[in-house]
Amino acid sequence: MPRVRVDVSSLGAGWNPTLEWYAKAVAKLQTLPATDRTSWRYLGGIHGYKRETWISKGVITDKDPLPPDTEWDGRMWNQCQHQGYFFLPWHRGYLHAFEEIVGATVKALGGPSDWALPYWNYFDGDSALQMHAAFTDPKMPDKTTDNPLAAPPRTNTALDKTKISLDAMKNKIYTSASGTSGFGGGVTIFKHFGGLTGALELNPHNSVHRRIGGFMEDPNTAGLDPIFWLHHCNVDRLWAAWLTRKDHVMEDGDAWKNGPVRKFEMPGPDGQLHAFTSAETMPGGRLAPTYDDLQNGTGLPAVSSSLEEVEAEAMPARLSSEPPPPATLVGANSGRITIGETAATTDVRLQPQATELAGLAAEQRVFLNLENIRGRASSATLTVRISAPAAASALTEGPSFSQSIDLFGLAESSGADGEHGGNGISVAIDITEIANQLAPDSGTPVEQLEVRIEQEDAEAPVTVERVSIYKQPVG
Amino acid sequence: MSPGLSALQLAWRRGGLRGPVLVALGAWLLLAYLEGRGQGARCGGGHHHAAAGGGPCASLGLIDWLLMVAAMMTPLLVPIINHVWRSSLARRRFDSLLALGLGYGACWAAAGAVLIPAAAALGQGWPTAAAIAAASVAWSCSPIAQYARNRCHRVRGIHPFGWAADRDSLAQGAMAGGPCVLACWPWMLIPMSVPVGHAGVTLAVTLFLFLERLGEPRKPAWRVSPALTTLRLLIPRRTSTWQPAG
Repeated sequence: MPRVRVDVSSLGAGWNPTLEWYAKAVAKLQTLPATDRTSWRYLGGIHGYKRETWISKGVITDKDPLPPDTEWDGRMWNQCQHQGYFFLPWHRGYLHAFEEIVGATVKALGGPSDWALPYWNYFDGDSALQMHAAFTDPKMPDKTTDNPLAAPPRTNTALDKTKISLDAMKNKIYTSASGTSGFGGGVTIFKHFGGLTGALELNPHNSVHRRIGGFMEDPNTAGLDPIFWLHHCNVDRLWAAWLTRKDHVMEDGDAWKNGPVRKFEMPGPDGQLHAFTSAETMPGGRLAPTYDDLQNGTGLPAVSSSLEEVEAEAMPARLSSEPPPPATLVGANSGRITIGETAATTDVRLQPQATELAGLAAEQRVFLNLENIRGRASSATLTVRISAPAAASALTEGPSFSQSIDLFGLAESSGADGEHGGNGISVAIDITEIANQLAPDSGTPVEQLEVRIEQEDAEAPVTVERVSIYKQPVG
Repeated sequence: MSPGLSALQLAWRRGGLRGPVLVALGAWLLLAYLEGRGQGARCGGGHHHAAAGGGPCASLGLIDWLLMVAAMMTPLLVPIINHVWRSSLARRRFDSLLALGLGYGACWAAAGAVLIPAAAALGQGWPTAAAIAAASVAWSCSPIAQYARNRCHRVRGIHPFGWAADRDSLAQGAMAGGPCVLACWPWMLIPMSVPVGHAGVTLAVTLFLFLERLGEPRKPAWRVSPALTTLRLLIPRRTSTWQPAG
């Protein structure tokens, strides 16, 4: 019987069989040693593991046995793919493995054989911003047993609707060209962290991780919070919904489809390891999920197609192995800036051609890039404000733009001597709208834009190697 | 098509590989030509009038040395070359790449000033080559080599305009070249120590270093060379069939 993933809010406001079985299965998996490939800790370690963090947060003791070395080096633990175009297929395979293991555990505990992971549809109205009650109730329905769904530390159990967005769904191309923002992220090889973040990954994915905080804001502990899986299930569903639109262009190059060169691997309920490729996560593939709805809370206009038409083999999005149109540099600031408790302001100087931005927006998309963002905190939030001189625009005060950026896995991607690199996170923000407001016929050359970056709740300084602007032809 | 070949094809179509491949190929061809004329960048043949070998290594010229570096290291430098290319205004790209090459080459030229006489002192012969190879493997396993490898691909911001763009590209070259020398220096002695088969040995060392560079950064510690780890990860493993969902 196929597993059908449903909106957690459709299951009712209080405890319900799906979440009660989930809680029981989580409790069971948490009793297993970290060396067991189906254990809660092993599954969490696949996403991220850092010994000091796990010990300091009480996940393991310094005497607990761990998986053998052959399962490290990113083979099994520390495997998650972020900041690149494997983010979505890797997490889809990860969700599949998790669902199979939890489903098998539910069945073994006497539950239904078709248990499916629900999704947290936080875009379905204000009430949906609050985490389901089963994740905050300290006790199970029997009122005596501790509830493992509520146990992990969290800063917030409700999301701020001003901080999460479905703007990512407006992206028509999956793969980001260098210096741009596509739906799914930039081209990478097998890479744990450190590349060009895709629009869906940036928001809502990163933003939800950051707002919930606690285990969720650190990739090394995120998979240990049971709400992680409902959040990622919704991100995965947004991808499934995005694929149902004919005007969307999905990556189909062999490097993505049959990749990465190093295969992804996941454990099954039997503890055996299974390799998979991105293609196997696509509609019709072995790991393709089934959702009850691909419309509510997706930000996409309603289509007349029935669910049967858009799932499984039918995938209206156009497959393309052509690389996205390349982007070219238009201007940049003079060098590295540091954002701590005080904001940093920098001038982004444009090429001498005064109308480089102005007037191009009709045929070009324009992106502000924060290149190689590095920091010591596991996550951070930056607010970027852009303003242009009034004289350069048709507006009396000059156009302005503001956007909040949540960074997930910042420390992981920043440490040169960690397992993950050292080039930090790169983010591209679509600023075509503000570029549009720069009137091409105002007679005043646009020589530079002022960019101000603030850090919210600054734990540690964040550096941005360069702030630049790129343009990309449309289509 | 395999994902690896496809990734290479994609990079070629985007133009990111063409320049580095042409530079490396050119350097290899020149090396082969010099080898054929008995003036190759190895100790014995490096003696400009002694193609049969046996000449002192000190006669290896700086140009030969940098040619060898260009042939071996350009493929390893592709991510940095692409970074500078992407970070530069279209009209400044070649200037920036030239500055990058100068910064990187300067590090290896300085290293050559030490390594060429060192190779001369060590002399040629299979026992010597084997001993250097063993020392090189040990070096690759060391924490200091890992520390250097972690920094090989670190990028910096490139100013878009004027002399500042050249300055930043030069600094980027030095930033990559310094750790590169630290990570790879003993390996460069091997081709100079073999009595025959210089080109083949150089190619083998290049492939090994390329595999090493593909390894992800890790905490510096004594461990097996990442080249072997990369090879292990690239070899398909036996995994059981994943049952369809449900």
